[in-house]
Amino acid sequence: MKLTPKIIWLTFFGGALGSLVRWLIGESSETVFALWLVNIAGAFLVGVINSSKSFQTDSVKAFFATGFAGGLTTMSAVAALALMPSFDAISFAAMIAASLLAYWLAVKLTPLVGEKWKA
Amino acid sequence: MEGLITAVGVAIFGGAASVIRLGLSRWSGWLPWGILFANVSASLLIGVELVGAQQASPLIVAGVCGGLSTLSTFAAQTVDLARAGLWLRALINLVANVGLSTAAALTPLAFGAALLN
Repeated sequence: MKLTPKIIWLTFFGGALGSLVRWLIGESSETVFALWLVNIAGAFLVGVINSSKSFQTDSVKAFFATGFAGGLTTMSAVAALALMPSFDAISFAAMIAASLLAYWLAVKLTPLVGEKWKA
Repeated sequence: MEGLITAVGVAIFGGAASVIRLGLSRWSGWLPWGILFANVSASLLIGVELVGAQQASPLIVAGVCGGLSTLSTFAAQTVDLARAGLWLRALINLVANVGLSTAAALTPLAFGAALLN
């Protein structure tokens, strides 16, 4: 992806929005629940974008994938869970696995939805 | 009003950090090194802020660290490596991102313990 000013601005605004949504969710719900929500949703979204025929332009990817989903999801807060006395390694591993699974599911399901749309 | 200012700050810092992550993402080879670097450095920063700061700043934690790090891109890259049959790389990418990020976040604790001893 060529780093044109347009791509950079789209990434900025998408990332800004994703970060804002993540922060709002974090402020209004329990930390671990918030992380499950944003990370699974973000991973699923990237799966949809990567596998959909309609969302293949650099602009769409910059805003929705790199920007919004990248801003919405976070690895740092997940890593920081290890600082909490209530840290649960199994739940931690499950969150990572669920995010990977969400992406994989989106990749599998998106082409099927596309087919249904045409039929 | 203060909440609104914080929200705008989180958005701006998150957006800027996302642009940095965009630039870093171009650094890729056997592994997606740029994203790994982004995740580990953001995790180090969040650890320092949460452990070291009197009051952790949402602009740093939610803005910079949250914007710089990513689970979605990491998940996509890991799964795509596996789907391409590059299982060892996928596993290493998984362990590196999660393991090194967690270690980075814990570093300030280890540093503090060393200082006390």
